[in-house]
Amino acid sequence: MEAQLEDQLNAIMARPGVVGVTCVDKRGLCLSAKGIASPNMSGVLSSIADQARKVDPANSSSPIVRLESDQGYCLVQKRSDFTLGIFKKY
Amino acid sequence: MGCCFSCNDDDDSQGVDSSERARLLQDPVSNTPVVRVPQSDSRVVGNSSGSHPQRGQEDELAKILQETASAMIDVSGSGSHSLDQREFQERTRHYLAKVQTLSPTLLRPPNLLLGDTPNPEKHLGAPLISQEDIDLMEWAMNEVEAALYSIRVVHSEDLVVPFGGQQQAAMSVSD
Repeated sequence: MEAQLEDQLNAIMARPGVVGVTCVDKRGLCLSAKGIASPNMSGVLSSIADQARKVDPANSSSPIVRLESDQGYCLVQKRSDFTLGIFKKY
Repeated sequence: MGCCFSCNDDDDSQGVDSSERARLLQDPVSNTPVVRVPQSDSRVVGNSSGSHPQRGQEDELAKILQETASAMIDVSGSGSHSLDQREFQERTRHYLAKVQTLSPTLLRPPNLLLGDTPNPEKHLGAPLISQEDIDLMEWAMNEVEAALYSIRVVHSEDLVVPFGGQQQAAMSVSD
C-alpha cells in the first residue's frame, strides 16, 4: 500500500549527505520517518513550514526552510497535502 | 566641588583594618590643601583691651576650621582611579569567586535554545540554500507527492464480518 512511499524515502536516504528524512501529512501526523528523523518532530516540522509560508503569502510556491545546527542542517518544505523534512550533515 | 564629607565615627577602625570599613581614599589631611590658620597672636598685637575673649573666639574658629579641614576629603586631589588591565582581571576573578561561593546558580547561563554566536558575520555571510539542496528538495517533493497519490487502500479481508454469527458460535462453544 505505502511501499512506493517507503521506496522513495529510501531513495532520498541514499543521496549523499542525507542522514534522515520524514514525511508528514497535512495534519502534522507522521507518515514515515527514516534515519535520524523522529516521528516526534512531525508536528513541529509541519508547523514551521506553515509559519514560513505566512511570511510571504503572495508567493505561490512554498519556501524551503533551512534549520542549521553544528553537525548539519534540515530542509523543510510543505505542499498542499504533506510536508517533507530532509536532514543532511556537513 | 569634588569634596566629600567624612565623619570621624570610626576612627578606631582605620589603619590596621583593611576590610570593608577601611577608607576608600587616602589620608584626607595629606591630600587636602594646607589650610593656613591665621595666627591670632599676630593680628591682635597692640589691641590690649578685650584681647582675651577675641583671641579665644578666634582660637575656637581656628579649631573648627582645622577640624573641618581634616574631615574634608578632596576627591580631585586623590588622583584618578583607573585600573590597569591586570588589576582589573584580578578583581574580576576575586568578585566572581565571591559570588560563586555565595550563590553557585547566579552566574550559571540560562538554558536557552538559541545560543550566542561568536562570529555572526560568518553565518550571516554564508551563502543561502545551495542549488544542490534546492534541486534535491524539488526532486524529493515530486517523488514523494507521486508516491503519496499512488497509495491505494487494498483490503485483503472481507469488509463485512458476520458479527452475530460469530457471537452465536462463541456462545455455543462456551456452553
